[in-house]
Formats: sequence, structure tokens, C-alpha cells
Amino acid sequence: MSPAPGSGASQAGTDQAHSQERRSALRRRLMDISKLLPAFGMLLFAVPMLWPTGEPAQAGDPVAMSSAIRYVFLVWAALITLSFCFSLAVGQWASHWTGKKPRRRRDGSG
Amino acid sequence: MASLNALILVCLAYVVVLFGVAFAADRLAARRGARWLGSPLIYTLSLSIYCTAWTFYGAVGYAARSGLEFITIYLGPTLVMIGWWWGLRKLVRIGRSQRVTSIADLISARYGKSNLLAMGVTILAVITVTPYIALQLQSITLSFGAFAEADPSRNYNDTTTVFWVTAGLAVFAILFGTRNLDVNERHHGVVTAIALEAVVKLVALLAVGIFVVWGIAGGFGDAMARIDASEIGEWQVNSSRWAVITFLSAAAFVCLPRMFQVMVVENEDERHLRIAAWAFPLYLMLISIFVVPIAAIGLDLMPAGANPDLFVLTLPLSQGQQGLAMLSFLGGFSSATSMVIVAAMALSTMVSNHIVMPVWLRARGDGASVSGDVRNIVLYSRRVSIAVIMALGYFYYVLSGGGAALSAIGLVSFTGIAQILPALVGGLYWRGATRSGALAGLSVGFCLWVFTLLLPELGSGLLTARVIEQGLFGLGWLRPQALFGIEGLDPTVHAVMWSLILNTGVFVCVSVASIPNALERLQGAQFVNVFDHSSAPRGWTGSVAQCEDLMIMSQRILGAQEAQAFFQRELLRQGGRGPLPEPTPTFLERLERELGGSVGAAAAHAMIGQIAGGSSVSVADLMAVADETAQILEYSSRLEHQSAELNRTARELREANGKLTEISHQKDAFLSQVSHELRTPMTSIRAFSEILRDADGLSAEEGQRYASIIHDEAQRLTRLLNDLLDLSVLENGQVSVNIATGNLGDVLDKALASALTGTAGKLAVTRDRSQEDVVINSDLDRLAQVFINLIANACKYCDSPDPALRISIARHGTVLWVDFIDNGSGIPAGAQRMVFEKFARVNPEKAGGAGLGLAICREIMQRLGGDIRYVPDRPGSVFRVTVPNVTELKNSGTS
Repeated sequence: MSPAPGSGASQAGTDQAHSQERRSALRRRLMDISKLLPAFGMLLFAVPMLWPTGEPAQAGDPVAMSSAIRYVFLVWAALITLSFCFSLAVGQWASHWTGKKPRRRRDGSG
Repeated sequence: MASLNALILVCLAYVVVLFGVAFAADRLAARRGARWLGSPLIYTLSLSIYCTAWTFYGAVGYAARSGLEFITIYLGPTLVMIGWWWGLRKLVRIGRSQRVTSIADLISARYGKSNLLAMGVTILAVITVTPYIALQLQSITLSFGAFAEADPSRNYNDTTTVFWVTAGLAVFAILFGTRNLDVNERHHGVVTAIALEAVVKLVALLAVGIFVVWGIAGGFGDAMARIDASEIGEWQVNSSRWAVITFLSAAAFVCLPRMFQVMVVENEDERHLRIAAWAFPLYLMLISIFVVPIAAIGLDLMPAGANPDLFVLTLPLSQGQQGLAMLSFLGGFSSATSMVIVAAMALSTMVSNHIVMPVWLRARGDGASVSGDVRNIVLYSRRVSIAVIMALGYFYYVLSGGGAALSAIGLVSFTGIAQILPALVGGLYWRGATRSGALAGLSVGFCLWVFTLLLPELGSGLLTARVIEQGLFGLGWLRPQALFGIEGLDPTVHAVMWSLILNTGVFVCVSVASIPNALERLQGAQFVNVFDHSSAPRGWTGSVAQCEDLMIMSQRILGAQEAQAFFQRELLRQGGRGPLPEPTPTFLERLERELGGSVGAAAAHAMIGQIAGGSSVSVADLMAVADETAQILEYSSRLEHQSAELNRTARELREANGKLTEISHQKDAFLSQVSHELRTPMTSIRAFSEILRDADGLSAEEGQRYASIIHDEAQRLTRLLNDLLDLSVLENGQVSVNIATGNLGDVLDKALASALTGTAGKLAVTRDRSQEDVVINSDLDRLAQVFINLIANACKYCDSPDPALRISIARHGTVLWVDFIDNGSGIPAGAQRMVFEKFARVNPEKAGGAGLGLAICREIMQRLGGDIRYVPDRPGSVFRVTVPNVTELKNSGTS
């Protein structure tokens, strides 16, 4: 099982083969998340573009500023939280990058 | 009312604190004392120079004018930060691995170290950033003005304030931004100071926001209600502007020289991005969270003509919150100063590296011959550049009149600097991007930006209304704000769209059409595949490293024993059980150091890279390796040659010495043996002749007996001397050999008859006559002499009660084996090797001869082309004589 391209995992640490495989799978998932996160953010931040602005040409009442603020800041906070989780995950799983030893699981599999 | 003087005092005190912090941080960094200086927190805070006075004061004004659109300025960077793993990480890695000093340097390095490109980027950066610096100066002046208005004793002059502020900032930037020219271009003092400023502006804005929401509006819900009721209470954002400005701010976040400076150049450790990825968006969110409430309530409370850009300052002032206003002022001051300082530093690096230095070096003609000389020049040119840039900002401010024209500069500046984006992104992700493409794209983008945005927005005098309305040269499709006849777009959206689309298009087309040179291709590969080329943040990592290969290589370089000892030590250190240590990063680093001691650092790095995999070799590596290897090869081949010569000489000397010693020993032994052998008969001859001479009344019988003893001894002496002579002749190869053809049986008959004479038939001899009927072609007398000797030996030394000798003959091809086998106890194993040596006797007490017999036999047999040897491990003693029946003699020349 080869590591995810671009993850830098081609220089990964040295452990047992199966824990390697496991970590490699996790790392692959991390890379997917890292790719999706900004795209996801872009989509969510693009949503306000669809809101009616109250111009005569557009149907519907304009969105109230308070709702707009709530939406934007909630999305923002959610993205920050996700980014925080991703950063924790990178710290834990991309040990080749952070230089830390991967934390051992109690069941001895990781 | 706070007097203007108090404000100036606070301001000066704050500046003194900043100087102190920067100075202390530089001192600490120089002593490598404080680790927190390079912490992710400082890194994140230093990124906040993105938030300038334009965002500190301007965001509220922006919100008061256009509602929530201001937030796009922060959403772009947020998206860039959360996508850090795919974008910024690569940028930072490249910046660090290529030792990049600025964005212009990065672009230039990517496209084959082209200085033309660097110069273009530098000029673009200066043109876009100088107005931005002027904007910061304006914001400081405006905030001073706001206080001055409230101060009854107004003796306040805009221009003087700006002048002193500019001068102060220039001094700060020069003092802390050009202290050193170290390789990594890090300025701990400046970075720490701007981190402090980041905290100040965040705290100030939060404090004003909290005061407005909870102090004035009376709570969160009330504030929301007042927002909805205000002028900006409805969603009124132009969706194209929303998208374009978000994109623009993302692009500017990466391309702005000051952002590049703190994000890439001042980066201590690329892992700081991991923290900054969420901490910086959080910072942005916090700094913008109260912007709309402040704007809405400011619009509500402040008089109609009030400048919304200064609500952050004037709202607390109008509510009598002097302290809060002061804090807010400091926040704005912080935003402005930190931006100006870093921007001036970044620009000065670019200007001095890519414009001043190349021009200076070319002007001098003789190139940089003295390195110290150049260092000073670089520092000096940077200081002058900072001063010039600050002066440009100052004059821009003064000339533009500091009016509303400046407030538009933010987005114009962003659009200008975003023209770098296609070349930057293309350079990082597309190997096919070329220098010509980058140059063409950048030029097109720059021209379009100037034509469609910069001139219409700012240079009201430079571009006539006629051009704007009817297009350049009267061509309708060249109208600056409606290129190609497409009307109705927002000017910013229009400019961004056309400039970036055409920029990217030309960049791609020219790149595809042009052929990159070698250096460009090389740098392209280095940049695009930076994660394959550079090592991970901390040294070597690698699972593919084959420890056995490493071992083999180390043995070749360090020597087998040293390498094994090293690997053993490492194995112990790791506490592992296997035969070889695990190739952990630490181990690889240690091994690299160890090898580096022998073959040089570059070669060691390259070698381990080859085996550990993952890291291919950079050109610099290769060059260094080539140099080192050439030196080592030359040196080692010389050494090898010398050592081989020495070895050869030593071996020859040793051999010669050994031979001499051996010969000397032989000679000594021989002499002492001969003397001994001669002395024994001489002694008895002398003794008996003395008796004969001196004793009276000796009977005739006694006389007879003594005389016969003397005779016997004399004979023995003669025999001995004969033997010696014989041996000497044989050994010197001066023997004469008379080859004759005869029957082996006859030779044996003669030998037996001769040897057994006088032994009274004591020895029983068994022969097989049928086998003896062999014709041999040899010196029959000499052969007989050998046989006699062997038979006589059997007579003398066979210790059996009934001594018997069997002579057996076997034929092997062209040689005959004649075995003389007796039934005695044989020769002891220890003596077997000795029996053919001169004077060697197994039982000296039984010996009657001189011990030369077998030595002579061997000499004879060797002369005759045969051999004689003792056959061990048989009952009795067995001597085997190998008789060749071919008659050529080895040394027939002497015969």
C-alpha cells in the first residue's frame, strides 16, 4: 500500500507493516479532508450570493442583516473548528511531518 | 477632554515600548534564549499585519457604506488558511528550501533566476504598496485629527504629523529591519513587535465592540435589532463583488509583499502553519465580529456628516469614553505602524536585491570581489530603500491631498498585487510554466490593471473623461471600464476579471509556446515537486531505507570495524534486538554526520538520500558532491598509490630480511653442527695418539687397537668431510650426473650388497623381484647411493627384535615409487619433518653417522628429478623414493 501522494508520507517513519498501513489509510483520509475543507468553505461562503438583495428585479424580501451576520459567522466558526480538528489530526497522524512519535493505542494496533 | 499633548505622550510611550520589545527580542534571539520567540503564537499574531488601518478603521466605514461586503476581505484569507496543507505549506516549504527573501525573489527563482522578472515584480509591488503606505499615514493623521478636533487648544498640523510619523516609522524599520543580513532573513525584533501590535489592535477593537454592543446598545439582541433597523439592515451585497473580492483578498493575502515577508520569510518552522491554520481565521473572525454593530450604531448615533471610517474612534469619544478612545487610537496606530514597517522592510529587500544591487554591481563592472564590502553595501542600500519608500509614501499622501481618493486604494492595491498570482500559482503547480510566460502574463495584467483600475480610480488628471467615456484613441472597445464593449460591470469586478483572465491566458499561452531553458526546467521541478526534493521539517525520515544497504555503504566509507561498531552503538541506543538498528530519522541523521566526517556533508547527504529514498539530489548538492568527490578521489588515489608502494617495499624488505635471518641461522647451525661433528672424532684421535706417544710399555696389541681406533676415527672424519663436500657440491648444483640405462633390480642388488656388508645378515630383506624388472634411465650410482643410505638407516635404526625391511615397488605413470618399509616403531611424528635436514638425527645416542645421509639423499633425488619423502601413519618407518624413468635432468647445463 503506497502512501497518499503529496502527503510527504513517502518518507514515513518505521513501524510494523500493518500499523503503517493503518496510518497510511488515515493519512489518505486526512489528505482528502484537507482538500475538501477549503472547497466546502468556498461553497458555504458562496451561498449569500443567492440571497435576494431587495432590488426590484429580484423576488422576495431582502435577507435581514442580523440573519446574514449569523449565517456568515456560524459558517466561519464551523470552518475554524474543522480546521482546528484537522490540525489536531495532522499533529496526531502525520507524524512524519510533525516529527512527533505517533501515539500508541492501548490495543497495541496503532 | 484629552489634550492632544496627552495623546502624543501616550503615542510616544507606546513607540518606546515597541522599540524596547523589538530590542529585547533581538537580544534574546541573538542569545537563542527564548523559544517562545519562534512559537506558533507569535507567527499567527505576526500574520495579522494583514489587518492594516484600512481594516481597523476602514472596515467600519466599509460596512457603513456597503453592509456585509467588508467581510469578504477576511473570508479570502480564511479560505487560504484552512487550505494550508495544499497551498501555504508548499509555499513555505519552497521559501525555506530555496532561501527566498521576498516574493520577487521567489518568482525570479522559479523562472530560472531571472532578474528581469524580479525587477518587474518589484516595480509592481512598489507601485501598489506605496499608495497603501500613504493610506496608513492618512489613517494616523485622521485619527490624530479626530482627537485634535475635540481638543480646544488646537495647534495641529496634518503635514507635520505625517512627517514625524513617517520619520519615526522609517527609523524603526531601519533599526530593526536591517540589523543583519543573515541567511534566513528573520527579524525577531520586528516580528515580536508586530505580534504585540496585533494583540493591541485586537484588544482595542474588541473593547470598542463590547462597549458599543453592551454599553450603548444594551445587549446582543438589542444590537441585532438596531442593526436590522439601521440603514444597512438589509442584505444589499452585489454578488459578483462578493465573489470577486473574496477571491481578490485570498490572492492578495498570498501575494502581498508584507504578507509574504511574515508568512514565508520570517517563518521559523513550517509546522507553525498547523496552528496558524485555525488561529489566524479565529483572529480574523474576532476582529470583524463587532464591525457591523459599530457601523450600524455609529450611523445611528453620529451626526449625518461624520466620517464612518473613524467611528471606531469617534463613537467612544462622543460617549465621553476617553480611555477607550485612547485604546482605540492605539489599535489604529498599531495597525498602521506594523503594516508600514513590514511593508517597507519587504519592499526595501526587493528594491535593494533586485534593482539597486544589480545596477550597482553592473556599474562597478568588476563584480563583487570583496564579500564584506558587498554586505555593507546591501545593508546600506536596504536602509536607503526604506527611507526612499517611506518618502514615496509621504509624498504620495501629501500630493494626493489625503482626501477620499485614498480610501479607494485598498482594493486597487489588492488588484494590482494579485497580478502576481498566475505566475506564482503556475510556478508552484505547473512545471510547464516558463519565464517568458510569466513575464508576458505579468506585463499584460499590469497594463490592464493600470488602464482599467488605477488610472480611472486615482489619476483623475491622468486619464481624461473623454478616454473613460469613449475609449482609448476613441475606440469604443477600449473603454477602461467597459473593455470589449461589456458594460454594466462593477469597475472593480471588471478590472479584476479582465486583468486576471488575460494575465492567466497570456501566461498559459506563452508558456506553452515557449521553451524553458535548463535552469528554468530544473527550478520548475524543484518547486513543483518540493515535497519530494526537500526533507520533512525535521531531518531525515524514511521507512524505505534499507539498513543493510546503509551498512554496506558505511563499511565502504568508514571501514568495516568502525561501521560495525557504530551500528552496534546505535542498536544499543535504540534498544532493539535485531541485527541492525532501525533506520529512524535520528539514526539517519547521526549516520549522515558520521559519514559527513569522512566524505563531506554534501556527499553524505546525497548518499543517504540515495539509499533512504524520498530525497533526490538538488543541483547544489550535486555540485558540492562533484567538488568534494573530485578532491577526495584525487587525494585518495594519491594515498592509495603511496600506500601500495610502501606495502610492496615493506613486503620485499620483510622477505629479504627473513631470508637473511634464515640463512644466517642455517649457517650458524651448520657451523656449530660441523664443529661438533668434527670435534668428536678429533678428540678421540688426539687422545689415543697422545696415549701412543706418551705411554710407555704399551703392548703391541694395545698399540694396534689404539692405532685402529685412530684410523677409524680418521676414516669417520674423512667420511664426514666427504659427505659435507658431497652435499655442498649437490646444493650448489655443481654435481656431475652420469645418466645410464639399467635395471632397477640390479641397482637394488648392488645397494643391498654394499649396505649389508658387515651386518651379518641381521636385517631380513624382502623383495619382489617381478616388480623390480623395470628399466630406468638415471644416474645409477647416485641412485644406488640413496638406496644404500636408506638400507643402512634401516639397519641402524630399526628397533624391532627381528629387524626386517621390505622393498616394494609401484609404478605410477612415468614414475616409480620405491618404498623402503621396516618393521620398527617408525619416526616420531615430531621428528618426521626434520629427518631430511642436515645433522638431524632422531636418536643421537644411536647415531653413527653425521646426520647428513638423508639430506644428501634428498639433494640427489631432487637432482635426478625425483623425490624422497617419509610416509607417515604407517606401521614402521616408510621412506618413499620417487624415481622418474624419464631421464632429462632439470639442471643438465652443469653436467
